[in-house]
This record gives sequence, C-alpha cells and structure tokens, in this order.
Amino acid sequence: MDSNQFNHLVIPLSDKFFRLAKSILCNGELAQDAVQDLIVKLWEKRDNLNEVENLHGFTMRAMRNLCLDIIRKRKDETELQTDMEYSELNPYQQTEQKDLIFRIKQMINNLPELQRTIIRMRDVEGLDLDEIAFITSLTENAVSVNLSRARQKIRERILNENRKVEEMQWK
Amino acid sequence: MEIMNELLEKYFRGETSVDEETELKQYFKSGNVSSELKIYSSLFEVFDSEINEKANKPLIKVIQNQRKQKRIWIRTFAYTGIAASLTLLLFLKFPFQVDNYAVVSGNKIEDTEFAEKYVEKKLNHVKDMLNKSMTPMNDSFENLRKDLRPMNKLINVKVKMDELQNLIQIKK
Repeated sequence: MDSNQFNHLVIPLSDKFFRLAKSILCNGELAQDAVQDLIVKLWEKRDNLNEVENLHGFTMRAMRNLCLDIIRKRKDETELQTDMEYSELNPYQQTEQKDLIFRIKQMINNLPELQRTIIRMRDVEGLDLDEIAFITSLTENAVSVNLSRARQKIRERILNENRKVEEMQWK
Repeated sequence: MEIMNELLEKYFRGETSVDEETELKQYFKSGNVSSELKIYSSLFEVFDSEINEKANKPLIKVIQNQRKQKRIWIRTFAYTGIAASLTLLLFLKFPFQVDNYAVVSGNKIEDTEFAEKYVEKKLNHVKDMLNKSMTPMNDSFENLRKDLRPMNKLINVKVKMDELQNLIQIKK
C-alpha cells in the first residue's frame, strides 16, 4: 500500500478509531495518542495491508487491542484516569446538572469495557453484528447478548435517574 | 405509537436490525415523540452527537510525517542516482585504472613502457605550456620590483634621519 492508498483507505477511518479508543479509554487525550500510535504502526506495516481482506475490521480490531494494552499497562502503574467517570448524583449535581445527555454519556462509560464498546459500535457507528464480532473476536451470539445487557442497564439507569428527578420535584 | 413502543422493547432486548434502529433514531429525532417515550430521547441524542466526534490532532502529524518520509525517499533516490552516474562516468573515462591498459586516440595500449613514455612526454608538454603562460607574470613581477626601488631609498633616508637625531641629542 503506497502513501496515496494509505491516505484514501486508512486515514479516513481515523475518526472511527478515535471514537472507539475514546469509548474504551474514557479519555479524549489518551484516545488521540492511541489513534496516532495506531496510524504510525499501520504506516510502518503498510506493505502488508494489501493482503488484508477486511481492512475496516482489521484496523478497528487493532485499535481495540492497542487500547486494551494501554489499559493493562496503566492498571499496572496506576488506576486509569478517566475524564468521564459515572457517579451517583449528589444534591449539588442534582440541581446544577440536569443535563440528561451528559448523564447518559456517563452511564455508558460506566458499563464494562466490552459492553460500552459494543453498544457504541452498534448504536453510534451502526455496525452489523458480524462486524462487531470480528472486531471483538467474539461470536455473533455473544455480541448480541452483550448488546442486550448494555441496553438494559442503560434503560434501568435512565429510569432510576428519572425517578430521582421526579422525587426531587415533589419534595 | 404502539408500533414504536414495541420496536423500542425489541431494541432493548437487542433484537432489532440496523434498519429498525435507524427508524427508531429518526422517530426520536423528529421531535414528535409521545410523552411516554420522551424519556429515551436523550439516549438517541447521545448516539447522534457522538458520531460527530473527530480525531483532528493526530492526522496532521501523520500526514506531515508521510510527506517528510516521501521527501527523504526522493532525496535518497536522487543522491543514489547521481552517485551511480558519477561512478559510471569515472569508469568510462579512466578504464585503464581498472583493466591495466590505456586508450590513446581510440587505440588500446597495453605496453607499460610505451604508456609511461607517452605520459612523460605529455606531462613535459604541460610543463612547457605552464612556463610559457607564466612568463608574462614573471615580467610583471620584475617591473614591479623595479618600480619599488625608490621606496628602498626612502628607507635609507629614514635611517640617516634617525642617526642625525641621535647625534643632536648627544651634543645637547
């Protein structure tokens, strides 16, 4: 793969890499660095990329594996610092932070890595189950189960949050 | 509304197709959502907003890096080409250095004694030519030397003046 092909086939996937990395790492800056690392690695091995049948799946899987490596290394050193941690609402947040969109993002980030990766690959990127299965190295059935669990959890959390807001309003 | 409710239940069970999910997204985006389902609008809004997140920072660096690498490759090829051409030129110009023979006026000469005499003769010719070309310069130097002679006299005058000054001081 020459630089022209690389610019046309790999570089346009960078935004997808970034969203996947951000979903796994829960940190924008780390995700940017991870994308850069991946692109440099892919560039160095560009001669082998012509032989890859499913370039999208292959590169997305590489992005996920790279992010999991980062998490593993960071866990050895210190606990991974996320910039979007989910926490229970305190009274101040309840009054000041009624933005449900922000809360839902936190809820998704608080899911286990596999579930948040799968729900975003499906609901944000619109990928088919077989594509997600390829990227995550799971069976389609396992992907379907994880997707269902992730959505159910988000639903429960949204309902809980809504219940709390309603209780606050009644008080 | 009932249809959307069922579709949403199917969605939460993870049984919807991509097309059905697109239908759900469009429904929640329309703004015409029933009050019962409004609570889930923000969820689909999140998915809609996250697709716009982009990786701007790393791309610039990588593209610049690629261009730099490309330039390095072009330069390497150019320098290699120039070096190869020069080597070829030297080989063609001085083949006797490689195969121990000389080429004079298109004739191959392998007799070393003859070649040495030939080179000596040519070198003497070069020496004569150099001498001839140096003659006008030598003449110019000679003329310059003649022109500078009065200057030497001036130096003598200065020496005499110094001696005279010394004598005056002694008398005092």
